[in-house]
Amino acid sequence: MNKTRVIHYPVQCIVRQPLTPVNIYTVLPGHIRKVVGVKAVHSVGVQLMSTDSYLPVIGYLSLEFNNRQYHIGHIDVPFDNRAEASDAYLDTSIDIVPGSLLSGHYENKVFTGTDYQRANGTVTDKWSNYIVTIYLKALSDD
Amino acid sequence: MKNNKFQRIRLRVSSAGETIRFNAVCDRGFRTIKGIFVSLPQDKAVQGAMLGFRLNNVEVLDDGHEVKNLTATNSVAPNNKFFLFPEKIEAAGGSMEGRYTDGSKYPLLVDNGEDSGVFDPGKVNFKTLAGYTTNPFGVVFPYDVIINIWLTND
Amino acid sequence: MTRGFRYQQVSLRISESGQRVYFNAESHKDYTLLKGISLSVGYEAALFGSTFGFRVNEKKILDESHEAHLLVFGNDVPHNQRMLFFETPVPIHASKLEGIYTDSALQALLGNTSYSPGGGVIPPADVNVKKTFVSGKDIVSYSRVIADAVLVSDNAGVIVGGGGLGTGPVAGSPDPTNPSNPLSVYYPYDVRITMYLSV
Repeated sequence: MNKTRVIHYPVQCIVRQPLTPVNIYTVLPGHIRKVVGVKAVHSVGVQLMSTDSYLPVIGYLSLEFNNRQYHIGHIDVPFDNRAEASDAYLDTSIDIVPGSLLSGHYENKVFTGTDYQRANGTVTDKWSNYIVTIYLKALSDD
Repeated sequence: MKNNKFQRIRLRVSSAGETIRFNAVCDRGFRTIKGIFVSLPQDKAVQGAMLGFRLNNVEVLDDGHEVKNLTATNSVAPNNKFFLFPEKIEAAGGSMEGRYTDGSKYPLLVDNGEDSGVFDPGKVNFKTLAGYTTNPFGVVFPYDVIINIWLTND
Repeated sequence: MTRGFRYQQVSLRISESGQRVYFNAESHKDYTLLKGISLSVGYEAALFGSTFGFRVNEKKILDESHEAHLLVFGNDVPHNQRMLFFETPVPIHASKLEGIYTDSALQALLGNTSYSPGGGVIPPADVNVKKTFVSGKDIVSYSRVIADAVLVSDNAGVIVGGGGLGTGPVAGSPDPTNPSNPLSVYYPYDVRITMYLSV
């Protein structure tokens, strides 16, 4: 096996309320040397709130690497419940400081009405928590 | 002289789970097999169907190879519809052998009871499902499978 | 004589919701590169929330929480693009190939309330509740993960299995006539893993 190889590293984020931004704050494994691609996908949950199989944007993701030193901008996150996958990543070339933070936030943009969250901040039965996964295509030397 | 030929092999599938063996000879006028495309008249018949393929007694696709990976919808441009083999396969009058297995009994599989959950495709035995007269995919029998072999002189 | 390529396949049978199936195989001895991998799952509805981890010679290629639906391709995709191709082919030589498929793995995380009110990153230790890949060991051959009871009772779309065709979908399964869930999952179903090997 080569010393450095390509891995696909997932970071799962749970969204528990429609109106509260989700803070992302996690330490990347020390063996990740470089991130060469990023994509964010809906994993599970939204299908419980929608009869559509495709929604182009359910939220926005803002990501920062290397202890907030490198901001890659905002990524639209779609909901695609069709059995067709895309292995398309957003190309990046980010040298990673070993053991540094991956941070940022995710802002939900769907099902934000009063049907889903009451004035007192609690969610209704119509709301379903959902999971967005950030995939990092990375060079690893483990 | 032409440099391309699409050689067709037509099979008739009469019943759920049927396996059909076939033999054919590649047209002698063409040196290589470039690709393959399997055409089925019903989308529902694609799921679970398998096609094995050997040329001159050398395996090209094993018997468990899914037809799903050898067919395409009309959303795919005609030039992209063929599965192109990763290397040139010498044909030149070679003998082809194949085995097509209908997959419409696929949803009727039973738990194989093996702890690992892994099974050898050769062990799949539909006889245990004798008695089923319908299939959940609603495949209508008989239907014809057309196997298109793309021969070239490239 | 062998060809310069081979599509090595492994099939797994998933018999009930939440089942976790491990396989361990050896790459064909005549081939030295693993260039790509893809999955084919019996029912499209089974894909969402199910995961597939993969490693070669005990080196992780795909995490155990990698989503299965990212490795599956529809018939609208041209054939020769229907794989996750490795940009750097993985060297192999009669290598140990391991995979772990978990049905409905991520659904089990939806009801978790141990995070902040708005949500946040789920710690890897919570995602991979059962560690299968441990160097030098094949510690799991078969196990079952029970989906969170809240999910089963509250959410019509979450699939619980065990019925199979003989008895029809069990209580809590999606209604096949419900447009929000046009496809039902019947258990058992098969997952086929295709690995593209090259000399």
